[in-house]
Amino acid sequence: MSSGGRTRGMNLSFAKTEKNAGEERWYILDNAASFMPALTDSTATLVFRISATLTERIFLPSLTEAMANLAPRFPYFLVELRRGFFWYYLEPMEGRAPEPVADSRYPCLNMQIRRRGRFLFRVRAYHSRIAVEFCHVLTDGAGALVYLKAIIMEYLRLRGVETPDPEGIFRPGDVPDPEESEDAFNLNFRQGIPFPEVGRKAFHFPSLPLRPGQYRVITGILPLGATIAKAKEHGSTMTEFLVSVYLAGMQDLFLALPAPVRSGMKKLVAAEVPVNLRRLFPSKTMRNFSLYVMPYLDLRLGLYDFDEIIKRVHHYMQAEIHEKNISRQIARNVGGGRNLAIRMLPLVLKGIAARWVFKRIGEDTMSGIVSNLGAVMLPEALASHVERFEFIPAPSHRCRSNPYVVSWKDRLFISFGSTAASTEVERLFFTRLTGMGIPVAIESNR
Amino acid sequence: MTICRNCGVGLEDSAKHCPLCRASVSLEPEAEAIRKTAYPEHVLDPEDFLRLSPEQRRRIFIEIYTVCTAMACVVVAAIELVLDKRIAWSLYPIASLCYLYLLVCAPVMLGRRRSALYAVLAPATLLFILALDVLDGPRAWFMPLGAPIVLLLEGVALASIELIARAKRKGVNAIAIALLGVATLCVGLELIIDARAAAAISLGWSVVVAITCVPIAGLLFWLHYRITGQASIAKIFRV
Repeated sequence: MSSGGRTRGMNLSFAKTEKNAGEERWYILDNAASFMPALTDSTATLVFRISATLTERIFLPSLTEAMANLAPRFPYFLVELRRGFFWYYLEPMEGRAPEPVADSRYPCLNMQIRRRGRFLFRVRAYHSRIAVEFCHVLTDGAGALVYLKAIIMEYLRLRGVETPDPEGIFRPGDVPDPEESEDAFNLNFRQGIPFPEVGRKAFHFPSLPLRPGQYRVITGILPLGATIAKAKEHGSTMTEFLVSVYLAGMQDLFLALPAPVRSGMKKLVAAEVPVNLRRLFPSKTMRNFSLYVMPYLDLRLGLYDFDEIIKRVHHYMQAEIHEKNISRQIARNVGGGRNLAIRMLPLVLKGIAARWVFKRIGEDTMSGIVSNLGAVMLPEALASHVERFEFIPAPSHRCRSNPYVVSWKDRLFISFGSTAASTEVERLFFTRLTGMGIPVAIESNR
Repeated sequence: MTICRNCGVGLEDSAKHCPLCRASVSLEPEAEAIRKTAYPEHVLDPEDFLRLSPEQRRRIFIEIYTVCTAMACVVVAAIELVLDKRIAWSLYPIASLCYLYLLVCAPVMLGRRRSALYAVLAPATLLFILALDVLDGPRAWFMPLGAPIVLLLEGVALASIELIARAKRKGVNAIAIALLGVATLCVGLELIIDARAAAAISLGWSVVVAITCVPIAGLLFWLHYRITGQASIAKIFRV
């Protein structure tokens, strides 16, 4: 067998997350999720949220029924987290269907994923809103959105709405494709390519934290057309435009600090921008399959005006979001996971190492995360029943204020999730947009 | 459709409470009165509904502790039976384990009901001492020594706990009360021992303990009620 064929065979073997021991079925975690359980605590839950607000009040019995009907369609989500000696793994919770839970003032908190008998996701209902909160151990934004769309369609069907048979929305009774539970990182691993360089440590806006158990969400609602037009005016995409606005705000925050404080700060502002890899490496996976690029401003070189920022971000992202560049990240992450010495480390030691690695090559190197889920598409029969979508980031101790973006019909929803007492990041971001003539309506949970 | 006031979701008309937040729902909702905000006003942890209640936790603890104690008793008795083919010394640890069981479980079961706790633990201690005397053979030391000492100990402990519990402000006064308790206990002990062992009652070592404890207790009371409680140091030490 050629080395290419051998690598392909190994990739296929590593990519299969569903395992069978006799009659028992269980799952291994995907490469990105492998170390995540060790990084969670009561605040940094790694739980993100996507919600859909319908035009009519939610009828709870129908939502419960929709979830029960869809449960067999998503067997890889009906699992609990267990500890093995070397790795965490996912144990199916046979015979149990998830049920909706009440919404809370502070979303994304209080998911005890390491406790027995807990699903790693939940569906929350409030007035006319259905929200799914997923722990990143289970899936990423794209996977969560597929689940939410399926819930919306089944719920509306149960409420008597004529639902078509659209592409890309899962229905109860469909047979899950084995590819849906595969670890696409392992499948697309290329051996022998260089790893990406570890980024420099980035500036983190100093702020007192909110009290434990609190998580502030500020959502800005913008007209999509005006925002895209403004982005095009600057010769960029909308994501690049919003990343630039965020970086410009971070630069302003850095400059606003007193000189003695500023001198002790890292002179680099960087935003992590997740990339849905399904666009680069076609995959049906419902597990995590996103990595990131990290546009940055090196403040040691001086200050940047907005046009400079947007030009840098545009060229950086155009160059970096490429199969070859992303393959380097996959090679680093998957290569580490396949290393025999690392595999043989007991889980406790892996946890300690994971926290250090996550801090050094993750949180330390970015000032915040700007994620754009993109435009949500639904067939017209369903779309007329949905008022809006929102996408809320997972709380983080280090990068305290992060904007997550989603667009629906002619509106753009930018939700900042924050554990910081200060609202300066949000204020600078939205005031810059209004300063450009884009009207912003603000909502918050505080 | 019945509507939950907290969650704002529609429920079956027959619903008595909301399955999400457990709040009771009215059969005739005033939908327009239910205010819709972007997020709920309440902070709700879904985990709360999965957690065991204090009562459930208490029951589980009692069950586990009962099984453990019973197993320990059986093991001790079995060891003696296997080694010596009789039951004799194992009764001591079994009696101790039973007494310990009461000491641990009574507070768990009775919680803050102090008088019920005294009513269980006071006779139990007396019975435990009596059991030890009975196991020794002919009853020799329970009536003259065991019972009076236990009663004295219980009386002093009970009085001290009650006094401390009833104090409006707890501070060093609790230490002072405990010291007075120790002094009383020592004097009482010497009296009981002298009455049994010596021809005449003569207070000796207990007085030394009392002379040490009582002034310190007095100092602590003074500190508590005068210095930190009512008067400022500037007033008291005004020249």
